[in-house]
Amino acid sequence: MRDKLIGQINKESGISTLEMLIALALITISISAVILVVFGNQSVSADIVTNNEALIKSQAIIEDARAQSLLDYSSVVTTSPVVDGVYTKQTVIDQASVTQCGKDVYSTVSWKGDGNRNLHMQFKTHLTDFVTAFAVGHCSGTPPPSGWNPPATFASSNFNPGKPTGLDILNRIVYMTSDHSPYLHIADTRTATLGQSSGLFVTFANSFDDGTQLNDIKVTRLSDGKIYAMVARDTSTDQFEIIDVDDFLNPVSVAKLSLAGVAGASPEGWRLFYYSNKVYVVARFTAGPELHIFDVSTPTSPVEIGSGTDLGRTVESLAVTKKNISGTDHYFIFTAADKNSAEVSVFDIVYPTAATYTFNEITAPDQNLPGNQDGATAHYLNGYLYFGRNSAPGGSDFYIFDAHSPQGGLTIKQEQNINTSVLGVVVAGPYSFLATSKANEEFQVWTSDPDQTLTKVNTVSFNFPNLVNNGVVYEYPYIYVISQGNDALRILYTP
Amino acid sequence: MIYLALFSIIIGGSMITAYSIIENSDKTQAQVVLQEEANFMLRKLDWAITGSSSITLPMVGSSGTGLELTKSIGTIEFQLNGNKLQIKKGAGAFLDLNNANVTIDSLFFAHVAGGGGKPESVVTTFVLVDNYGHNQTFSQTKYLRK
Repeated sequence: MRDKLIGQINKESGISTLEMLIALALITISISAVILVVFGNQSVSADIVTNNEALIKSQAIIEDARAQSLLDYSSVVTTSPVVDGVYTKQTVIDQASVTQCGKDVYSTVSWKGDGNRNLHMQFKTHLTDFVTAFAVGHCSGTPPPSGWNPPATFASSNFNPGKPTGLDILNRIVYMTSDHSPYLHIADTRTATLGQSSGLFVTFANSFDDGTQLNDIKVTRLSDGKIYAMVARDTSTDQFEIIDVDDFLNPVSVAKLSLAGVAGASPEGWRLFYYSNKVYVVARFTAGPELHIFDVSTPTSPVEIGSGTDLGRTVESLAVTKKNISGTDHYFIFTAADKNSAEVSVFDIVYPTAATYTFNEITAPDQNLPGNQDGATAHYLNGYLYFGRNSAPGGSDFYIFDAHSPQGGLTIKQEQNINTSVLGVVVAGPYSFLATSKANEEFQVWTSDPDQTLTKVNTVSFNFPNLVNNGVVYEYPYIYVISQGNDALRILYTP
Repeated sequence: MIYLALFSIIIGGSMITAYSIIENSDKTQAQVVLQEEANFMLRKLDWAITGSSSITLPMVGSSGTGLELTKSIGTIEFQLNGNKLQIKKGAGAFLDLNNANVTIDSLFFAHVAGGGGKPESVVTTFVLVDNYGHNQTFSQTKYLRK
């Protein structure tokens, strides 16, 4: 009986212990759940705060970039990541969006969330380069469609006789110069259809004929609202001319001016560039000043500012941009030249008064590239200079220079030996469109990102021989290319 | 006795737990409200300053608790009234921008002159406090786009 009782007590004690263990387990589970809920709540709370902080920081980056672009559009660049407390901030420019007058900027803020989660916030906006847009009078703000492997001919047209020498586009009207009457040729491509191979060039109703070979052309809408073509003439006097092409079926010459003090073997107008009511005209290396600047504020009465400046070289291509340095507007002329010690030459122009300028050849950016091959083409875009030269055996032919601070010098960002002369270059979005002299693959498409190695995009060749110096222009969505063989004009696209 | 003790612990623990969870949830909700209120006010300021042609108050180079600017739709004014940020459009009445769940502890607008090529700007800074006394400082710089 006693043993029975003891056994029962022992059994009950065992049950109590078991119940306590179960209760403890329940309590532990409950507390664990509570801790999870509380911590989860804290995590949500922390996420809310950090999200909002990141949002404000992201917006601040965009706001700052927008303000900075008003000061110097090209100074808004991709930055290195910057640590700001728990956040890492970065400004990123999307190279695929870069055109002559605009680019997309991203503000990225990233941080580690609770539980080591990688979180980030990104804002995007489009910045417009108002200064350049107004200065050049027109620009294509939409990047080209992606593809270009291979490029294809959308339409083409020829004029015969005559060989084209210069090219510009405005609103799908193509303006070309040539060595044969009427020397100015205009193609209306607004209604061009896929596969069209003739009939783009218009016949001038007023039988316009410039009377002499023209070497270069720039077209823009000037201050009176009318469209004008500014041309470099292959003559020893009256080398600069303005033609009213507002009615492109009836062009009218409104002004001709001689380059002051030019003499010698090559007095002809050679290349020109329009920027902010001024036209920069160069003659080839000759006696007298090669560089001349015309004020075309009144298109019908252009005035040469000063009396020209001696460059001591032939400039094959030029591009102008404006930078405000310490409150003064500096106009930098980037050139591709034949000077052995400076294939890339940069000139700094300041206008103390409307009727005068100071000229400074800044030697810091001079690029004495390997070999004696001349510079052939220069294209400035978003703080970078895209430069092509005559083929240098074993050396690079295509370069991208960092030109954000030309007064301090240019640095090579990328270079590539593409085994041919680069005669013309235009950059839009992620692409560099090149006119080259390489047999059977004259038109080439390369990448344009200054931070990435230059890579050929069109691995399938595009044959279009006898391309003309600086004879490649972009206007969304096409590339316009001129040739002294085959078709004078081809409109290229990506199928 | 053991059962009673266990029952008390579990019930007591559950009560404390429930209280903590509810309080925590309330704090989180208050935090959400604070962030959303801040966002709303910042967005409203952003809207007002974007596209404004001139800033009357504060004067360039100074700061204050009031902001008066001119937009194409008329004059927009902001002011601190007690613990409320208020907005007024044209000849209308001042309206509260923040609700009763948050208070503004301090607010100032700084009108910064343009310089270094950047346009003039308005720096808005305010401290927002929620019902639990938790406070957070918010700051925003907005450049004028003329």
